Amino acid sequence: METIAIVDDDPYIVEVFCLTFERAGYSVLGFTDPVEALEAIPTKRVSLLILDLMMSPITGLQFLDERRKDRALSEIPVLILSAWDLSPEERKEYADDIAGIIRKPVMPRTLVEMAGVFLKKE
Amino acid sequence: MRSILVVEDEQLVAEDIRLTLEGYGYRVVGTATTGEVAVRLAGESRPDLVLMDIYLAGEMTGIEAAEEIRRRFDIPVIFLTAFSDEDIIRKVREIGPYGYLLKPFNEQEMYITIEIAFYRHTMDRALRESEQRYRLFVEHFQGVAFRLSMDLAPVFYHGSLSRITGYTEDEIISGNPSWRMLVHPDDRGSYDEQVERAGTVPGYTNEFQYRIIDRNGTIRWIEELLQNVVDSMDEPQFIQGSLFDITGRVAAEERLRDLNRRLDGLVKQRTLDLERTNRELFLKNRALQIRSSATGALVFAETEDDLLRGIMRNLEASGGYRALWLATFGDDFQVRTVTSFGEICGLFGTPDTVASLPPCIRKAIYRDSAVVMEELCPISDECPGLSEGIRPGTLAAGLCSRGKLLGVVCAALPPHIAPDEPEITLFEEMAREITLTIDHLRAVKREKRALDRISRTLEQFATLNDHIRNPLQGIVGYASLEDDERSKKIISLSMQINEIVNRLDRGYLESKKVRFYLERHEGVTLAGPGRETQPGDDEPDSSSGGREKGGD
Repeated sequence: METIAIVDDDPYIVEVFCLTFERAGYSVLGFTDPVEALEAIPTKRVSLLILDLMMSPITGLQFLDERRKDRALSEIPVLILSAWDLSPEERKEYADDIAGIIRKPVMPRTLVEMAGVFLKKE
Repeated sequence: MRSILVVEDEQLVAEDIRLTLEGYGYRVVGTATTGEVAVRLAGESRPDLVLMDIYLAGEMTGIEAAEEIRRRFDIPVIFLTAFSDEDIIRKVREIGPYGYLLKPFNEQEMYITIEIAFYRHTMDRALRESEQRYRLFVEHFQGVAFRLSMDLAPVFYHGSLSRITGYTEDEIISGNPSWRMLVHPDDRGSYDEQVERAGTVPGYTNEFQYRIIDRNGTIRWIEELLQNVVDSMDEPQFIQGSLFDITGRVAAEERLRDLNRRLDGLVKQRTLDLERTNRELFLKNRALQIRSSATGALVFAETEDDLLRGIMRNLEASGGYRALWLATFGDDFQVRTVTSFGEICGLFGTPDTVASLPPCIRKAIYRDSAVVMEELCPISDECPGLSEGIRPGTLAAGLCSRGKLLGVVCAALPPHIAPDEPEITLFEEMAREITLTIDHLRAVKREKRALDRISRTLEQFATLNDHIRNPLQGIVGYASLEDDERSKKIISLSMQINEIVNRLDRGYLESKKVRFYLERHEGVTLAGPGRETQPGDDEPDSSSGGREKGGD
């Protein structure tokens, strides 16, 4: 069974997507603290990472910076799920780190479909 | 050797005379026997003397021939005659001979008579020449020589008296009119004084000028030399002098003076014209400098100090003001002083009341046009060395823009610039240029502040939108867990809210376009909050891809 990790500082969003992906037949790891996620995810077998941008104490982009340093983590594809879009400079800078960008709010069904596309690609 | 012509019709006598004469050392140029021949010979050989027998052969008598010779050749004639006929002697006397010899005469007698004739003739000629010279002199004398007795009675007036006055010598001497009466009434006082002195002071000599009125009533200028003539004992003998008509000279001098005056006037006029042209050029040049410096200030100045310094530099280059004080009102009251040496001095603290402002600033506040002050603005005390080489006056003008007083500008003038009308006009123009620049600087500052505020508000607004999307995502997520009708309605309503938020977002992106334009083309840099968490520098069109995905 594929494992999907969700990193968002909003606990409701983490909970609702955990439920959604579990129903779709995935194993889900939810994190409301990005720092905790950085430590934990490399130890698990995670196939896809869904990442928010506006978070504290570190932002989604800072999370991506840290991800580059960890070999195991850097192999996991990242879908950005954010209320904000990235600037062209940021898109360019993180092009290799990001598999896709999705704006909030997204219909859970749509998100599951997109995740399915990425996982098949892998 | 003197030459003599002998006219004698008796050959023997002629020969005797010739020999005798040659014995005395005279040369005999010839002997004639008739009057006609005598005249011809006299003309040809021009002897110094003619010895003439009164009775001659031929038509012409000796007397007639002698007359002819004297008249035509001025040669003295001595008559020879054998008779002492009273009639003949009378006739001979009438023509004035130089002598006559009665035949028979002895040699001695003839010699003496001849020598006397020579002497007389020489003397006569000298006298005649002298007389002629004197006559010529007097005839051509442009002046009058005169003499007065010591009692001032006229003795004579010789020369061009009538030519000068129109009166004869007799008329003047008889006092009808007297010379004094001819003297112009205005000059009579000084004339009398001169004559009085000449009459009383021994040896007095003076030359003076005055006017007379001639017979025709014409005014003539006279130059008079007046002398008291004394004898060897220093006793005054008489008064003499000369009078010259110098009307022509005076007129010429007057014309010359007039010409000089006209030339002087022309030179002065030309100088004035040149000065005026110079002044105009000087003012125009400075006006140009002021305008270009103000334009430069509009482009480059970032602070009001920059503006002042920029203008000062150009003003100094164009020989302008020595110092400028710029007082600006607004958030902070400040007086900035810039001297032509480029230094900034004389900062003035914020005043409590208008009354405590320096007078040059205070007076300008109440006036629409520039003010000229007699005294130097007291702020200049703060600027070392400024009070040297400047006028004690100051020019001051309020800086008014759209009815609002922005400040006051004052200028200290160098000595060569007088605060006259064109200077004041120029200063007012400068004040207007400074006003424009200050206005511009402040408008930019205000605009920047306003844009900044708008930008911050928009950023906050965008952040709020973002914050709305998170709970919306939660609601949509939870509702999607159930597949019933109510959940569908919740999702539908949530997506409506999302659409509203999107619309608001588009408004924000549009304003971001404005900001982008301002930053790129107007050099206005706007600070945005939360740069590290928000992609604030986003190009307006580039985020559409992401939003489209979210809109599904």
